[in-house]
Amino acid sequence: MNHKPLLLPLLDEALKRGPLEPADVAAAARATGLPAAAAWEAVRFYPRYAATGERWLLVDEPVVRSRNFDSLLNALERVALAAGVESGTVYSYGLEALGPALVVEQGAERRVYAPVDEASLERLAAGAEPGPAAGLLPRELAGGGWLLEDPPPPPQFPGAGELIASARAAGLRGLGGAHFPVWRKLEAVRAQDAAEKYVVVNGDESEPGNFKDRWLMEHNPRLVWTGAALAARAVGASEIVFYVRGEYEGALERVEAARRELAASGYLDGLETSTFRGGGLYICGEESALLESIEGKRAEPRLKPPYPAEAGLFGKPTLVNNVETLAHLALVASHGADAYRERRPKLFSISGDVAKPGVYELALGTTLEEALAAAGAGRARAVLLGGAAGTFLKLPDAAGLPLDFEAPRAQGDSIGPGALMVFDETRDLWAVAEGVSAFFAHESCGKCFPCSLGTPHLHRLVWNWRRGQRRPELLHELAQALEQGSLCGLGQAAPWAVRSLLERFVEVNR
Amino acid sequence: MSRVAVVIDGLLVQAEPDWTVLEAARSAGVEIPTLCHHERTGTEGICRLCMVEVAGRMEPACATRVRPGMVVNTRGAAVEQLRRTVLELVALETNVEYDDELSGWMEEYGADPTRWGEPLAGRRQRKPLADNPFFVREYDKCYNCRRCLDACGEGIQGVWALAFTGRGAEAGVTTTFDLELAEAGCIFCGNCVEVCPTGALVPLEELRAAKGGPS
Amino acid sequence: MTPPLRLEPDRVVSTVCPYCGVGCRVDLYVKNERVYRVMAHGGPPNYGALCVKGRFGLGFLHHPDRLTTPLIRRRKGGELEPVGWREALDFAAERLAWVAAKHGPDSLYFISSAKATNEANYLMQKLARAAVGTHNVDHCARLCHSSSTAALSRSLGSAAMSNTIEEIPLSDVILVTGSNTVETHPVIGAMIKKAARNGAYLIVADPRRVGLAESAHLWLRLKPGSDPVLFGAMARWLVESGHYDRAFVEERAEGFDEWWASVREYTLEFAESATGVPAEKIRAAAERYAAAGAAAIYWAMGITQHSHGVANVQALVNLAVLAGQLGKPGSGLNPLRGQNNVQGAGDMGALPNVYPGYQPTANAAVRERWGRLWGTPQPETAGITMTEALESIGRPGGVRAVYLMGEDPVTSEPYQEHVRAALAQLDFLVVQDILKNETYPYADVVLPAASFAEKNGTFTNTDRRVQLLRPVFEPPGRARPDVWILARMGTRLARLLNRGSAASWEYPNAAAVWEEVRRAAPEMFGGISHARLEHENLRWPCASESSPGVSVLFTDGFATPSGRARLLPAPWNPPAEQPGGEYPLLLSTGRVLYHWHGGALSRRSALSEAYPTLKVEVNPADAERYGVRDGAAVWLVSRRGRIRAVAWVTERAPEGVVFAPIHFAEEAANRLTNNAYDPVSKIPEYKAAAVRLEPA
Repeated sequence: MNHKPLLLPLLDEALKRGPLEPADVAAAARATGLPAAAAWEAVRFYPRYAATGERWLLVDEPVVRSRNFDSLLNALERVALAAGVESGTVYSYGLEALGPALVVEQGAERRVYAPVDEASLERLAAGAEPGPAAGLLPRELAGGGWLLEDPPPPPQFPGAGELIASARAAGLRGLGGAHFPVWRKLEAVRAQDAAEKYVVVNGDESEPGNFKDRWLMEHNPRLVWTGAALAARAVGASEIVFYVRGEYEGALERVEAARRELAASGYLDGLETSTFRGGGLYICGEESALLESIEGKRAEPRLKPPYPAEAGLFGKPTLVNNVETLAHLALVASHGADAYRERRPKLFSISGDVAKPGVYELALGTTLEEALAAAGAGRARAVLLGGAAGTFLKLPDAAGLPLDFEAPRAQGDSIGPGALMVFDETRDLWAVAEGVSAFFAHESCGKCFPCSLGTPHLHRLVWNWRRGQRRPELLHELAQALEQGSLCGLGQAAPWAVRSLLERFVEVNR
Repeated sequence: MSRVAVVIDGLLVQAEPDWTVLEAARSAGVEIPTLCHHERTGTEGICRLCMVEVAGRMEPACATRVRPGMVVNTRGAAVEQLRRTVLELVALETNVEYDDELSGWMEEYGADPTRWGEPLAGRRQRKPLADNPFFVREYDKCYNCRRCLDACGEGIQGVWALAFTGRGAEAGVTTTFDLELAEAGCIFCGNCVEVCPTGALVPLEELRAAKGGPS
Repeated sequence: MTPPLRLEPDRVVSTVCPYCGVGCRVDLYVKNERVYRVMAHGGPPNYGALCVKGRFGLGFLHHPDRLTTPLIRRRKGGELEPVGWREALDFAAERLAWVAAKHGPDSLYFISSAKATNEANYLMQKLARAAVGTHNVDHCARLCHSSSTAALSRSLGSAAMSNTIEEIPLSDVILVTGSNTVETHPVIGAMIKKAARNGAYLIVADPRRVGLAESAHLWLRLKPGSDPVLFGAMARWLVESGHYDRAFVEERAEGFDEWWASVREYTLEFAESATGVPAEKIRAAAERYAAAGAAAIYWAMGITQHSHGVANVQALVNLAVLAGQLGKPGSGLNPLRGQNNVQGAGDMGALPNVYPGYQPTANAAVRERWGRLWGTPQPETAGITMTEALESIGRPGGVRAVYLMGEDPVTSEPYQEHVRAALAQLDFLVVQDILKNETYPYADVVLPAASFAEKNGTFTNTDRRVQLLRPVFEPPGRARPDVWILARMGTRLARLLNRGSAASWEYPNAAAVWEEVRRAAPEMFGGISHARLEHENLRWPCASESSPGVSVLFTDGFATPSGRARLLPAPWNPPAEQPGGEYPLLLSTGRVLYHWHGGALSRRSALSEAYPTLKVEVNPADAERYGVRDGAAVWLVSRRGRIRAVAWVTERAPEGVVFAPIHFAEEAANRLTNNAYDPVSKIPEYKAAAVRLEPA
C-alpha cells in the first residue's frame, strides 16, 4: 500500500466501541495524515457517524412512494412515538423488487426487513421480528444470463493491448449510467506515466430503482473481481479498491469473501486489493466524490478536468469503473469480443407494477414492451427509466423504444444504469416525483449553489404541485438552473423526472 | 510561452496559456460575476455564478482554462437566467445585506428572490457566534463560498481551525470538533475575515463602531 | 474589491504594519478617528495575508497611555511636569550639550529604534555623529541580529536576507533553525508551511517543538547551544562524502583549509553526542540540503541570542557556502528580522561602527566624506555598542547621558535589576516614545512621538523592501513625528556644540531626509524615492531610478574585498551559564504569537485578551520532577531574580528546558536572563540562563 491508512475504516473501527468522541476522530486523523478538521468534516458528512441509539426507518424509494408511503410512514411514526424510539426515513437500499422495506438501526448496527406492511410495524412495536430479513437479495431474484450464472473460470490476462482492443471491438461501455466507452478509459489510464496507479471498482449503487449491482456483488462477486484484476493489469495499476455502497453490508461481506477466495487462487498475485465500505450517500457513486471519500474527505465531486484517469485517487491515475462494467470486461475476456457483441448483454433492474420484479439480463436493443413483458407487466402507464435520475416514459407511446445506449438518448432519455420502475394507471406519478425530489434535496452534498439551494425548492414546488399549487414557469426555470448550473450529475439530473412528467403527463393530472 | 487567442463576447483576447476564462475576460474588461472565487484562495467552481457558454456548453469561467480558438459567450440568455436564479436563491436563503457586490448583480440581472416564497434552508435563523476578542461569526450571512475554509487551511494559513459541516442546504461552516475557535486551533490571523465576501465574519471593533459606542 | 462593511469608512489609508519585519501592507479603515478594520493590501510582501497582531492588534493607537505632551523633570527627584515643545527641546538640548561639553561627546549615548522610520534613524545617527560628534549610536538589533550582521558582513559583505519572500515557493529544501516562524513571523511561517505542503522538503532544527516542527519532514531536536556542532558536522559530512559543491567553493569561496581544520572533530558520531540528534538524521539533513536544486536557510533569535551567536551564524554561512546554496532564486541565507524596521535602522547607520549604507566608521576616507556631507568633522574614536554602553554607566569614562528613541531597555535588556540601577545613575535621560513604558519613570525629559499611523516616512522590511508609510491620523495631543523632533533637537545641539550649520538640520518633511539618504548612499538607495514608492515595489540595492532593486543577492560575487565568500571557523562553546545544582533547568526566552517584545503595543490592544498573563513552557517530565501542574502558578528563579508565571506543561519544551515569553514587564523574563555577551556582536545570551522552578 502506497498510501496511509484510510479514514473511514478507522472511524468504523472506533464506532464499534460506541459513539465517536473527538479523541477518536483526532487519532484517526493523525493515522491518516489528514488535518483533524478534514476528519471532523467526514464525521459530520457521512450519516452513519451521527447514529446513536435506536431508530426505526422506512426506506424511501420511488415504488413505495407510488403506493402506500404516506400511510406506512404515518403508522411508523405512530408506533415509534408510542415506543419512545426515533423514526424517520432512509433512502433506497436496492430493495424495490421486494416491496416496502424497514431499517432498524441500533447505534452502528442495522437490520433490514422487506417486505413490510402496517402489521409489520405493530410486530416491531411488540418487540417481534417485523418481517422477512433482507440482508441479502434472494439469488432467485435474477433469471438467467451470462452475468447471472456461475462465472466461467477467470481467464488468462491476454495482454493490455489485446484486452483493450477486445473491449473496443465488443463495444463495451460504462454501465454505471454514463455509457462512456470502456476502452478509452483503459487506454487513458494505461497511457499515464506514473509509478502508482489505481483501479477503483464503483460498487456504490445508490440510484433508486437499481439493484443489479447489488445482486452482482452478492451473488457473482468473483466475476467483478476478475474484471477488475484484468483491468488493473491492462492499465498497469498495482492496487484495486472495491468500493461497496455503505448500506450493502451483506454485499460487502460477499465481495470481501470473493476477494479472499480469488487471492488464494493466485489470480490477484502482484495486486494490492481491498474492499472499502462506502460512505452511505448517493453522492458517493459519483466517481470523483467516491475517490474523495476513499481519501477520507467529504464525498464532494471534483471539478473536471482533471479526470480520474489523470489525477484520481491520491492524485494518481485511476481507472474507476462500475461493478457491472468490470463484470462485462471479464466476460469479454472469457468469451471473446465477437460472442459478446452477438449477445450484447445488459442487466436491468425491473420493479414496480410487474408480476416478477427482479434483475434481468436482456440484450441491448430489447424494446421497452419486450422488457416489460419479460417481467410480467400488466397495464403499465409509465416507466421511470434509469432511476431517480431518470425520466418518465409514457406508455403506450414508448412501447417500441429500444433499450440501448442510443435510442433513448436521441429523445432526451437514457437507460442510465438500467432501471425500469413500472407504474400502472392507479399510481400517482406526482407522489413519485415528490419522493424523487425529496431524495435529491436530501442527497445534495452542499458544494455547488444551484444544487444545494435548488433541490429543496424543487421539492417544495413539486410538493405544492401535488397539492394543487402549480408554478410550471418556476419549475422549468429551476430545472434549467439545476441542469445547466450544477457541478455534478446529481444536481444536473435532479429535475429530469419532474420535467419529463411536466412534458409528458401534465395534461393527465389537470 | 506563447499566448492563446480566445474570443470572449466577440472580443479577441490574447490570453496567457495558464489563464482561466475568468482571467482572460477580466483582462479584456469583461466582468463575470463570481461569489466563491478569490485570487488568494483555491475556491473555484462552487457558486456557479460565473458559468459561461462555450460551444453550447456551460462551463465555470473561474475553473476553466483557456483553450486555443475558444469562443466564449458570457451574457447569453441561458447564462443570464441561470445567474438570476442562483442570485435569487442565494439572496432568499442568506442575509446578504452587506454584500454590495451581490446586491449590484441582483439589480443588474433583475433578480427577485420573493418569487420563490419563504426561505427553506434555515440559515437566516442562525445566531451570531462571539467566542473570541477579535471577530464575530454571523452565519446567517454565510452562503458557503468556502473562501474562509481555504484561507484557514490549504490556501493560506495551514491551520484548519474551520471545517465544513452538514450536507445540502443545511451545510455550513463550523470549527474542528465544533469547538470555540481558540480551542479549535485558530490563531486569529483573520485571513478568513479578509476573504469573506458577505460580512458573516466581521471584526468586533467594526461591530462596536457600527453600534456607535467606543470599543 | 470593497469588503462587506457595517460602517462606511471616513477614509481608508494604505500603510505598513508596525509589528514584525515581514512588513505587511495594510489598509486601515477609519471612522471617527479610530481604526475599526484592517485589511491586507494585496501584492507583496504579504500577498493578501496578515496575522493577528497586524489585523487586530492596533488598539494601542487609541490607548490612554499614549504620550501626548512633552514633560520635563527640572531636578533629579522632582516630578515630571508638562511643558511646551520649545521649553522641552531647549531643556533637553542644553543638558545634553552640557554633559557633552563637560565629559566629552562619548559620554552621550543615542539609542535609535527599529520601530522608527528610516528617516528618523538617519537623523538619530546624524544627531550623534554630526551634532554631537560621537559614534555612540546603536539600536535594538544589538539584541537580536547583531550576531547575524557580524558573521554575514565578514563572510559575505552584506547582512540581509539574500533571498526574498516571493522566492519561498521556489525552494526545494527549506531549513529553518532557531525561529518559531509561525508565531514570530506568522505570514512567512504560513508561506513556508504552504511551500512544504506543495512539495518543498522542510527541515527544522530547534530544541523546541515549535509550530513549524509539526509541519517538518525532518525535525532535528538539538540540545540548546549545540548549533555550531550540528551545522559544522553537516558541512563536514558534505565534504567528507563528496556531496559538497566543489566548483562553487573553488570559484567563489576562500578560507577552506582553515575552516576544514576547525571541523576536524565534528564527525557525525561526535555531533550526535554533542547535539543529541541521531547521526542518521544529521546526514540526511546535510544530503537533502546539498542535493536540492535550491535550498534556503531561515533563522532568527534561537541562533543569534547566545554568547556564541556569531559562531552559530557562521556555521550556517559555512554550510551554505560549502553546499553552494547561495546566489540563486530560492537558495540563500535569510536572517528573519524581528522589528518592522530593524533592517532599516541598520541600513541607516544606527550602529556604532557604520554610517548609512554600511560604510565603516573605521575608514578615514569614509569619515571624511561624511564630514564633508554634513559640514562638520567626524570623530575618530570608535563607538561602543548599546550593551557595552549600559554596562559602562556609573564607571569612570562611562556613559552619563542617554537619548532613547522608541526603546524600553528596562524590559528588553538582560538582567533587569542591573539595568534599573544603571539608569538611576544617569546624569540625564531623554525618552522619546509613543507610550509610557518601564523606562519612562527614569526620564528627565519625555518627548511624545507620533506612531506609525501618524507620520510619513519609510520602513524597510526583512527582505530589503523599502515601503512608504502614510499618515492615517493627526498625532494625539501635542505628539510629533520623530523626524520633526530630531530635526529640532539637531538644530539646537549643532548650535550649542558649534558643530555644522543649523541649516543642515532644516527638513520640511520626511521625504527631504530621504533625499539626503539617497545622496549619501547612492549604491543602495539612489534609485528609491518617496515618489516612486507611491506606486512601485522597490528594494535595495537599487542604484538607479530605472531599477526595481535586486532580489537575489550574490548571484555574481560577494560584497567582500576579494569578491569571494569567506569560510571561517565557527568554534563551539557552551552557554556561559550551565544548568546544575540549585538551578537545574535551562531558561530560554522569546516571543509568542499574540505579543510583541516588551508588550508596550500588544498589551495595550485586544491581543491582551487572547493572552493575558505569562505562561512558561515546562516539559511534562520536569513538571513531574518539580511538582508543577499544568495551569498552576510557579516561580522561576535564577541567580539574578525571580518571576511568577503560570505553568504550561507541554512537549513543546524539551526536558531540562523551560521557555518564558518576554512580553510581561511586571514579570519580566529579563529579571532572570544572564548579562553574558557574544565577544564579537555583544549580543546578550537571552536563550540560556540557569533557573529553577518552584510551585508558587
